[in-house]
Amino acid sequence: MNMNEKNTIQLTNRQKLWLKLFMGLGALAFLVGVFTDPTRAWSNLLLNGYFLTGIGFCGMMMVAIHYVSNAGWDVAIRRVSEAMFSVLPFGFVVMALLYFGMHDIYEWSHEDVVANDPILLGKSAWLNPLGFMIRMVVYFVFWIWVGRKIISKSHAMDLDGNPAHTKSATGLSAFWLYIGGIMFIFSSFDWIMSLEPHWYSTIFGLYNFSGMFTSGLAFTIIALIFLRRTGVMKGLVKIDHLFELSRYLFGFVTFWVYIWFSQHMLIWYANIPEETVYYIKRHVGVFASLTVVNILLNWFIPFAILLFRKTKRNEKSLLIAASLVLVGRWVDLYMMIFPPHLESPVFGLMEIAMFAGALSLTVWVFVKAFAKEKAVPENEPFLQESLQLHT
Amino acid sequence: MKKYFIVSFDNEFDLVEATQDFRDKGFTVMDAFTPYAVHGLDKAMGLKPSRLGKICFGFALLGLAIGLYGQYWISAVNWPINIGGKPWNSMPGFMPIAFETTILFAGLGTVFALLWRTGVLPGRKPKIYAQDVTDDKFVLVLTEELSSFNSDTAEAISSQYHAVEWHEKLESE
Repeated sequence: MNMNEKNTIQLTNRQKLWLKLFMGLGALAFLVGVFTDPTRAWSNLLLNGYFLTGIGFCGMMMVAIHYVSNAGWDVAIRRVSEAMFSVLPFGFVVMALLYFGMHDIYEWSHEDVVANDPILLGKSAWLNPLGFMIRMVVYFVFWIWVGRKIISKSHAMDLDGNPAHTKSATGLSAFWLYIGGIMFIFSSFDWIMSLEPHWYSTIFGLYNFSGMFTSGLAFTIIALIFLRRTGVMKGLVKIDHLFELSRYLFGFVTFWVYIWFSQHMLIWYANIPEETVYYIKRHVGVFASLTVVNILLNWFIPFAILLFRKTKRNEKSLLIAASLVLVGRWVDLYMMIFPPHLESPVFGLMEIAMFAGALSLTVWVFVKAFAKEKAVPENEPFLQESLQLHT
Repeated sequence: MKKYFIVSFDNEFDLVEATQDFRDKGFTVMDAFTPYAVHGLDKAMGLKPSRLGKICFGFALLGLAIGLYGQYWISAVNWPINIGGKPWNSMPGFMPIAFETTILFAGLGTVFALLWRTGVLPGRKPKIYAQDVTDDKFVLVLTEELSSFNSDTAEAISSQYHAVEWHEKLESE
């Protein structure tokens, strides 16, 4: 066990080069896109910014949930979630760029359009460019500022081992979950649902929450498998920890499809034109087959893979299921963000390059943040319980 | 004639280690009784993984089939009613009920399969092997044909793992 020193994980120069290359290509594709096809470029930026935000948010949420629920099993993997949280500021940077591209994707940001549209005029108290940016800053500052406070307690614990830190982190976590969770719901209304400002769905925030959680869990699982392979987690994280995470994933892919179907069925049942317009766009032409792909990737295939105890305890099958969910998250966001502006889907170098860039950025930030601290919080009261996890 | 050898321990660690040792030395473990679930005991006892999951899955499929076919038969075959202009066979509307019958069948089926397989049915008179089993002791019951049971070895192993009490019991089948 290498509990008492900082862990030695780092990227090789070659890996760094590849990650830089992908990040550069993503940025380049975006810059070219802004001038050639701005709507598509900004839609991609929103997609990837929201993806990064989801990964970072999920990291903090896992930390906070386990503090609040007094969970013992997760302590050995807490530093992984904490490192994921470092992605959140980068999500902020990417999302803040939307200030310059707002007019290309958000209908309500045009004053002349709003003035002639009674529905948008009625919503303009909430949906206006200034309020949009202020709320974005408030969300991110709260998530990052309070989140950092929680994590600093965990780091202070490494130094002096005073259990009071855990107690105050638990209180802060409850605060973060309550306020931050409501903010997440509103952020999905602001950033994604307002792409179609005439349409609304009250379950939309929950739908995005479920997608954020599955993709975050998938990323945690993939990261843990690779950390185990490098040997940093040797003797600390066992297959039982992955088993717990895969049960989470198994449950929450089903939760995702449950919410997806809830939204779909209620709109189908009521059959009110102003609501069905959302699904009519997504159920015709090529988008219809993408809807099927979305459900296959986000629920059916991972569900079928993770149905068995053996596959939940096997790194290979877990890697496959988690990767499908990560790709599925991209498809899910694509199905939310692109149909408002397009008749049929576009997919090309820009989409690939920008998503690869976002993933590379995530990996880069994650590894850097993880390498800074000890691999496990060694003075945490529950650490022994976590190391002895047996399922 | 069957012979039971009943050993009580004070804590779970002794119990798990003793169970493993008894099995290594060729004894047959009939059952272990503990105040709470003990991790690793199933492995020490050599228990096979439970088959309840498969039963649960089977009942779930059955519930899904019954839920879907039942609604199809009621609303499209036997008594079609026009509701909101929807087709008679409307899959999305059947889903919630099909989901409920799935979990209902899976849940009840699993519980009854468990009760039936383990014999824990109402009116069953429990067999108490040692009085402390209902309190704070960890009790292990070994069983063997009378002729082949080696009491000396069993007692030696018991005291090696700090057993607090042991006794033998004979029972005709």
